[in-house]
Amino acid sequence: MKTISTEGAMLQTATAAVDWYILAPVVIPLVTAAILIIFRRAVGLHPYIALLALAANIYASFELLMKVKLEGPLAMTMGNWLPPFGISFAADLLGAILTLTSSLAVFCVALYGMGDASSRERRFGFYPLILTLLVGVNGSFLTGDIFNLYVWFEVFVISSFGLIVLGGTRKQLDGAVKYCFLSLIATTLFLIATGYLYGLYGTLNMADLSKIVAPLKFEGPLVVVSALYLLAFSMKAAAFPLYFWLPASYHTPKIVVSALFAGLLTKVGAYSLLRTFTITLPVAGDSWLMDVMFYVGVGTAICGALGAIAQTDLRRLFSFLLVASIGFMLIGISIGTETALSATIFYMVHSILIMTALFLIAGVIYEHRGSLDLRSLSGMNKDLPLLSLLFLGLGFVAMGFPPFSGFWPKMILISETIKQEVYLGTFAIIFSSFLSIISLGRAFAFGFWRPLTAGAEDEVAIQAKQLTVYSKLQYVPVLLLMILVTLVGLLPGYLYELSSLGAKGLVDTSSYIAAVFGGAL
Amino acid sequence: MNTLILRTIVPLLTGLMVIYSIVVLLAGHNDPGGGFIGGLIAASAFALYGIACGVAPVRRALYFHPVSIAAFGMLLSALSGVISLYKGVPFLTGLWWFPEIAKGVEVPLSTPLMFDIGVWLVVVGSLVTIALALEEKE
Repeated sequence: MKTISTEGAMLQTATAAVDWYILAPVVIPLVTAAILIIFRRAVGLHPYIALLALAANIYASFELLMKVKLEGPLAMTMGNWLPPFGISFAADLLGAILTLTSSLAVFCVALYGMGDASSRERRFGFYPLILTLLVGVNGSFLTGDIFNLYVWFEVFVISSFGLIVLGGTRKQLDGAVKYCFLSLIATTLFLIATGYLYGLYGTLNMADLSKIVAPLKFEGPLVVVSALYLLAFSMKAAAFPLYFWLPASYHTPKIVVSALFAGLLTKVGAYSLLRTFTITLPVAGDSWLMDVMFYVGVGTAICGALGAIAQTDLRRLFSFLLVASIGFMLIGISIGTETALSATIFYMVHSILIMTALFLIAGVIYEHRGSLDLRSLSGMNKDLPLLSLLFLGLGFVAMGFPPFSGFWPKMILISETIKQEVYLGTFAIIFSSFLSIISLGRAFAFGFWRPLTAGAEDEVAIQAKQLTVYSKLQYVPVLLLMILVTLVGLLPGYLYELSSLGAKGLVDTSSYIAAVFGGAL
Repeated sequence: MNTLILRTIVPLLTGLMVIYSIVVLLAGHNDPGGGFIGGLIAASAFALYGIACGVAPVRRALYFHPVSIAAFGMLLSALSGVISLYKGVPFLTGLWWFPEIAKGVEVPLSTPLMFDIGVWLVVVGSLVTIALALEEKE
């Protein structure tokens, strides 16, 4: 038999063990989820094993971030093949920051789940599902291959299907149907676009595509593919006019599950837009398609905030605020300058943390009052001072008041819209923020300031009797997130440095391409 | 389905199908076959057994809960990739091992095989879960 030389196709040098930090945020939760499912009857142990794994995951993501910050993007191509033959994983700063943030958010959610998920729900796989959801989300942030991105989308979408029906009430199934239907359409469009892309250029490796597409003109089939990606990812990100599914479904699952979804899932859509229109298809990022995205972003920011002031259900209110925050990201991506992109990355980190925190605090309120309806909530500043303080604090963060984390990216983004003379964007961001101040202020005034409504005393007393030791514990994850966003707000320099370095890597793609192709460039 | 012919022949058929699925699984690396298609064959064997003899005998025969089987497969597949960590090669690199069990008889073992067995278990576990849930009354 003739031996075939694999020198041109396979890696000949050894891979250092430290490079494995790029896989750890995917492999650790995956293996842990498998172990938890095998021992599905030992539900008492589930939270502890999951928390341990998530802590290890945070550590690994942190190490990855530090390594990427020091040495530039890190890449590994599976199975010893050389890119573009094998599937590449490539972590640049954008991916590494978001991996760390999402790992932190999932840790808080898992902590909250200790008191919230019943043993029946645990047996149905609450912890394994949040772990596989994290696998999908981290995989999306770290992969360097656009078809692989699709696979990770499927991983977290299927996990989220499992989580959204956990509990199985009629209302949940109703929300789940809307959510599943839209997710399926979005991922199918994504798959179709990916098929076209492969047919056009014969590769799906993002770095390889970047090289091939960069010198091309933005015309013909490339426009179709880019528009399909814009549509598919905007659907996942809940952008105007396709955001209706989000407020219609996010208030139905368990509160802890909706916190997880609000924190992570839409951000993956926004991340994919960011990745696709900077590194993968650079010409599309400089085209008229960005104007479309700009108007979509303006519409999202304004409609989301307008929706928020009309809500009486606290979780629906937060869902609309989430939609509005996606609008800011889209505006940032569409402007596309380095400053705007770094503000977007900063804002994404802020948004993951604050949205998780807001939904979790809704859970704490529900625990104490048995309702999330602003028409019946009242008088919480009297008997729940810590909760009031936290809600006020998180409200300030979400509105973008200094010195919290929401202030800096919004300020940078506003100054950048003025510099680029897109005053519509300036208006949209300020108007939307103004509306969110009204909606959150209204929620605070009704739920906390308003004296306890007549007849509500009995209900409050009944609810207070049902509190367990876990009800106190549920403050812990909210406090953790509050501390995080305050730290980010007080010391913005560090995250800003990371996000501006990340944005630099998106504008100048050479370091990313070099990392993926290694010496074989 | 309560017919004597089916109840007599199906246990035999189930055994044959499972053996065949393992043959397909092991053939998979160089010939048509593999974990997924093998898993489908085995899952349909158990589904058939369930139709003929009821769900309880299938659960007894499997011993482990199908969901646990699927999870174990997932673990096996994930770990097959991690083995390459100790060899200093990227994730999921195919590593081979040829132990000589008797004089001149080498058995080729590899991480792709381990991955494939994992896939086989995932497919069997998850499809049997679905099939049994559908076959169960209520």
